[in-house]
Amino acid sequence: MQGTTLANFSAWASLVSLALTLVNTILILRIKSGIVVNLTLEPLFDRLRQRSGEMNQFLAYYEVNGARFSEVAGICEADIRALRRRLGYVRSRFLRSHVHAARKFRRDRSAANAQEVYASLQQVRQHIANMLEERRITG
Amino acid sequence: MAVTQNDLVGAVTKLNELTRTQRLKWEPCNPPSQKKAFGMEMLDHLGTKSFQAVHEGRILRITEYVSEFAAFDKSLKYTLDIRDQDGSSVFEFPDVAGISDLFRSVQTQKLDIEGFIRKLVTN
Repeated sequence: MQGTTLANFSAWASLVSLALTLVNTILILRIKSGIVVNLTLEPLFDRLRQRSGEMNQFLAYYEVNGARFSEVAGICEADIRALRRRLGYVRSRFLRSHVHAARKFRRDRSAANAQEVYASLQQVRQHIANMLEERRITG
Repeated sequence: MAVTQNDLVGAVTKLNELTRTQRLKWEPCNPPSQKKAFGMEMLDHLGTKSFQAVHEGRILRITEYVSEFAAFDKSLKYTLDIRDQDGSSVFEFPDVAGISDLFRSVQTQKLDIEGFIRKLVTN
């Protein structure tokens, strides 16, 4: 009788410890990704600001600078995709419009689509600037 | 419905597009005489540049200046405001993404690189 109770208890205890291990793993992964986002967000923001300036310059004479615009837009898209991966599915929702615009631009490299890529990048920049501001306040 | 920050970013992006496509023409103008920061009036800054354009009856003015707190932050700052007929600012855009790009587009427009190249080719 006592042996069965002990067996039941140890079975439950191992299940609880498994659950705790899973929770701890999730928490460690979240903290790790939080550290990565915190350390990389500001340099990424600076890079996006620089790329935005270049894109703006190339958009002014898009007919002759189309190839250079595509090059910068490609680098920018890689940065945005990296950020999307780091932030996770829910928190990276604000990046969707840019990813969509970049995909559209890859299919048709027209000036209108290039302008859309630039416009969506401005929204992304503003969102990141707000995130950085909130981090500065909350620490 | 209230204007959101996204709307302001979109508006600046649109102004930039209009500037690049020469549908919005900017002219040099007097910079704002004073700039407020942290509640203190600040004096004119050396190297301050302003341009204005009229769009749908509103006078827009964009200004590039170096902050008085340049000892800490040497970067250039930008303001975009809407002025009334008397020249006083009635609305200043918050510091949103794209204002510095708009200023670069205005400078590029003033340089008239396209006109310069066409002139070189035709002469």
